[in-house]
Amino acid sequence: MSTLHLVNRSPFATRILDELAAAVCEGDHVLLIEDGVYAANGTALDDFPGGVELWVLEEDCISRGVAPSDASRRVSMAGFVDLTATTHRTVSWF
Amino acid sequence: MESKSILVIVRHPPHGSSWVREGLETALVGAALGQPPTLLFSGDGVLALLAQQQRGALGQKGSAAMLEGLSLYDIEPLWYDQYSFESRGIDVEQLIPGCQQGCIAEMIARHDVVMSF
Repeated sequence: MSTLHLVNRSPFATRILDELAAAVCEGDHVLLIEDGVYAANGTALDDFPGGVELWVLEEDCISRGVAPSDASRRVSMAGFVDLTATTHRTVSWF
Repeated sequence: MESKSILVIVRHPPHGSSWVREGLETALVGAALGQPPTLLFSGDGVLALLAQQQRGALGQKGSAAMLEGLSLYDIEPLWYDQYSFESRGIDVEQLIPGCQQGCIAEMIARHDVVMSF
């Protein structure tokens, strides 16, 4: 009964990650897409709660020249689809 | 068809875009179809719950009147996220009637479908 959370905004322009940190449950998945991938570039995710699987969309990293830190796992567009299919619900944090 | 529980989350402020209005209209559609959703205000969305909002300089209506009418459609209470609320320096006395504090993580986890606005 886990949730897939999609983040598509830069964590430096908004407080979405703070808000999301209060909204995740253990076992949830967070996928960074579009400008959200900038959160994987440095320290923005350091204080994010544990027990949550962090993913980053590979093609958005490539187009932005972002090299994700070890905290998040790369996923392809097909993997994105798999995540939406294996989680119970999806929440978009645009 | 088995009905699904729906959570509508409003995360944008009430003036400057139509996100709040669209979220409320979606909630009303659910209610009109016999399935009132749970309505939660989080992030800047909590600002839509401030009482005494008025028309803007251009006469645009805002969302305050719509919020007051939601209870007629069994959409109540109006839930808000405590963290978003406190971090914006709002007191509970400043809110319109019918608001109630909720835990956003718990609310997401117990609904089948979550829609963000």
